[in-house]
Amino acid sequence: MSAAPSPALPALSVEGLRVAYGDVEVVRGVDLVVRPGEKVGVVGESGCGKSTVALALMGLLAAGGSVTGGAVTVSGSRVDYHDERALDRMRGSQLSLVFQDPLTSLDPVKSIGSQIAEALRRHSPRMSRAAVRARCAELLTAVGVPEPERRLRQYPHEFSGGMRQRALIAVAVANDPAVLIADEPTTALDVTTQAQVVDLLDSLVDGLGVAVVLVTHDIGLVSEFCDRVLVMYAGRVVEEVPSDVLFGGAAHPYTRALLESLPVPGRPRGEDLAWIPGAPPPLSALPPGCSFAPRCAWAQPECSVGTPPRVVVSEPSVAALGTALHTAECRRALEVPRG
Amino acid sequence: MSRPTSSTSAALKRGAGALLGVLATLLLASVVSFVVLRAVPGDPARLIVGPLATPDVLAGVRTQLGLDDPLWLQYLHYLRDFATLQWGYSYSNGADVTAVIAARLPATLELALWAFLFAVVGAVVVATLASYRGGALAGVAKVVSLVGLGTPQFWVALVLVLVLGSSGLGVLPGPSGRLTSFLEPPPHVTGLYTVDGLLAGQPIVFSDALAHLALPAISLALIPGAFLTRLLTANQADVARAPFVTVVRSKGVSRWAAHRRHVLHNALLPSLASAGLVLASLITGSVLVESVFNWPGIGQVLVQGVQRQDFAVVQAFVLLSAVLYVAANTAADAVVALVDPRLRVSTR
Amino acid sequence: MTASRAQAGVAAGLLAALVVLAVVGLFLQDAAVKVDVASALQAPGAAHWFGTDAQGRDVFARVAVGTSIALASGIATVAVGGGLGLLIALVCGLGPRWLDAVLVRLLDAVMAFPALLLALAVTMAFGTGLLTALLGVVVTVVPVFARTLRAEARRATSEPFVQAARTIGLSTPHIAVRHVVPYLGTTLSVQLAANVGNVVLVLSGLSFIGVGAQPPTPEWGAMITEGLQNALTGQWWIGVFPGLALLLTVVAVNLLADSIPAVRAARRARRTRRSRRPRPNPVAAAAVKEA
Repeated sequence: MSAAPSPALPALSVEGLRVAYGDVEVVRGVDLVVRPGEKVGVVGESGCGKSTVALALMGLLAAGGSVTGGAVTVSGSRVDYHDERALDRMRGSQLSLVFQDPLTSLDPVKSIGSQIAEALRRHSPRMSRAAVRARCAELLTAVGVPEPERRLRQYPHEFSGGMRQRALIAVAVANDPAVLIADEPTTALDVTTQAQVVDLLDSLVDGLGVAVVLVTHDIGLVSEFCDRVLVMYAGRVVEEVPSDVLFGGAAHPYTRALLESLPVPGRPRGEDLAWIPGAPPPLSALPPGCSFAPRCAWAQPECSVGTPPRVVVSEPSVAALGTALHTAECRRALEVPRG
Repeated sequence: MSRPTSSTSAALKRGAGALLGVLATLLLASVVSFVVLRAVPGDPARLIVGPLATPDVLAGVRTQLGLDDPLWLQYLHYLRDFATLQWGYSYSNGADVTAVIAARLPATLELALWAFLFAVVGAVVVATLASYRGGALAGVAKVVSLVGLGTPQFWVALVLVLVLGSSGLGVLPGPSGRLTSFLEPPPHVTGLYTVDGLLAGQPIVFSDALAHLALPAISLALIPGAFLTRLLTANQADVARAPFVTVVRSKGVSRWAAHRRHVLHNALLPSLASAGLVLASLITGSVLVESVFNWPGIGQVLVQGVQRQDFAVVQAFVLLSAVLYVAANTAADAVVALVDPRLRVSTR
Repeated sequence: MTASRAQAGVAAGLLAALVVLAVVGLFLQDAAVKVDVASALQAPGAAHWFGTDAQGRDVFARVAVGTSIALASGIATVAVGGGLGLLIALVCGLGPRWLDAVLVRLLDAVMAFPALLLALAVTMAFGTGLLTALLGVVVTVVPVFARTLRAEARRATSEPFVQAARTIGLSTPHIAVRHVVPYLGTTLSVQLAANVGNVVLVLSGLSFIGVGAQPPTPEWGAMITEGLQNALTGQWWIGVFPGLALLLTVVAVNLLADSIPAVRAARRARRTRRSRRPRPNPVAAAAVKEA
């Protein structure tokens, strides 16, 4: 285990990440900086590349996918995605993953205990059996699973969905990683369990100082849980916004459209929900210029020419926060009325 | 689970239900075998005494065999005799069928066990490498297993003898039975020469027995081996796509370790369900291969019985094979129920 | 998709070659049984491509005739056995539950016997020969078809289109023929192809043991038995060529069976794609689904 990163160093820094499946680029230059203990959300529709970013950072892209550009630094050291052994050392110890579907994320024929122990043994091979068992029980307790000794001997089918997700979180934090990447960790759970899992993640950030990258399509969840939100569209981050100004302060037309399409409790019944005309473009045939232009209510002819500029919407109010910048990739970002 | 008593009784009920099903299948199988080999072929007495016997002799044999009883009574006797291991006497030479099969069983058992070993080890190695490495290797494994499944075992036996055996390169002995003629069989313990040879501390007997085994066992292993290779390759491909494998990798476990510990383990479990098919293929194979190698096992007894129209031998062998098939499937189900935590009765 | 099409192509090529050989065999039936002791045991050469056997018969002619015997008997037994099996499957799938339960038990009992041994028992019971061997093989084929197709037929009955047909009052036979049988298409075609291979193997096994086709008949299994006696004295060709033909036949049919589902799925996909408006590039769609 590495020493705790100095507060000055970001826990995770991503610059210009590009990922391609075959000839099709699905992530087209993503920048992301996460400081220790920070919670950053990545949102977007399905197919925008957000889950690909999560898998690419772990170095676990499905067959055919590869990182084609960019630099990733974890706790100050550069990640080499061609060095499988170094990646294996990094995975689980510095960068961890909590997966979408807890029902299929555990090996059905191995006990919960052995699956947590596997993460511990991999990075601390000299740990004694008794120490591993004690640490597993401690981890289960930490993620809120009662009767850990008995639960460790059980198998995934004896765990409910929420309990499995807790066990998976225990696996992910077993080695005190610097960054936890949570890919839709609550999507497969029912609403009450969702809240519990979010609370658990929150308490882990406070207790362990782990940084969290939360990948989800759920804007409500992100605005509540995260410090900062990155909105992705067609493989790019189109807006980066502090979550306290997300509602009411979003500047990119796509983010605004997303927010408007949210069902809000208390809205008059007869009123239609807003929706975005058209569908996201196929990544193999992106429109020229801004990818969102064909669906954008504010688009002008020049939007379809050249890459849209990154516009600083507002400087951080406290200079010390440094990265809590609000930017949008839209030439009309400052003209669009904030909704 | 929280209430072990109730889940145990549920499991017992399930087990009892399965056992009843197995018994029903076995009874029906015995009816099939009785109808085909006793009721249809006509008069066994005539087959035994030959076409020239006098009516008196014929009638005597008929009474002796109980052929004047009504069919249902004959069936019950047939069932009783099979269950009590009284499999009758050879129509052609009067030998006790049970004794003949018992005497010949170890040779076939030894051959089948080694063939099984070759098939399983070969299939696990090829299928694991193919699904782990993928690409061209997977394609080659697929073609090899498709070809293997289509191979006539008796012809492979012939080709192996021609290429490697005494009439070819002479690398391996064959077709010459279980041991070189100047060697004494090892002292009888299990009846398996390789095992007994080791037990008696006779390495020469062991290696000679193994050399004699090699070609017939390979011929026998080919079809079940190809079958298991296909099955395991497909299973591993399915499991490898499961999200839990990515989770295992995210712990820092290398791809190979994740494959070995998690993918292979999960892929092996469902393949137990084909234990019956593998056994059936070994039984069939022994019938087809033993005669090529002059292997003194029960497969050869059957072939000789067939050629002499000896229904007593065929009857016993055919029903026995069905019983073994059902037993193998039942045993495999039981093993899966013990090994797979999802089916295991939790007592904690 | 392309791999399975290539595979289907190889299978079709092999089968075409075998059919040609079988047709050639139809004209060589006399040569296949013509004894000529003077030219016995000749090695393969210009006069006799595959050599001659102990009685001077031309091995190539015998293999060719064997091909027509194998293909004809393989197709015939599978057609008859498959038809009967389909009938049982439809009764199981659309008939009363108790009948289904009884039939399934019976099928399982028959399937408990290894195919070769069951076929052997039936053949012996009705008297040794090629025709009785065909009967024995049919008995082993029926439950295989019935069992696999029954599962599909049962699934079909819970599909909306069958339930809708029931609701509008169509008769059960009508539903079976017009709605359930087409639903079974892929499974049926895979089973038809795969079983031809098995049947040809079992038939030759029966002849090899001595209960199938009898010696003068140029059947592959019987030829291999004859070839065994000569193999030890060096005349390898008598047994090797018929086995090679047997192997190629079974492999060709298995390759075909293995490629059917993928090829059919691809064809169906192509058809639907053509009938709808243009869709995004499939690679991108896959990548999008992944993300």
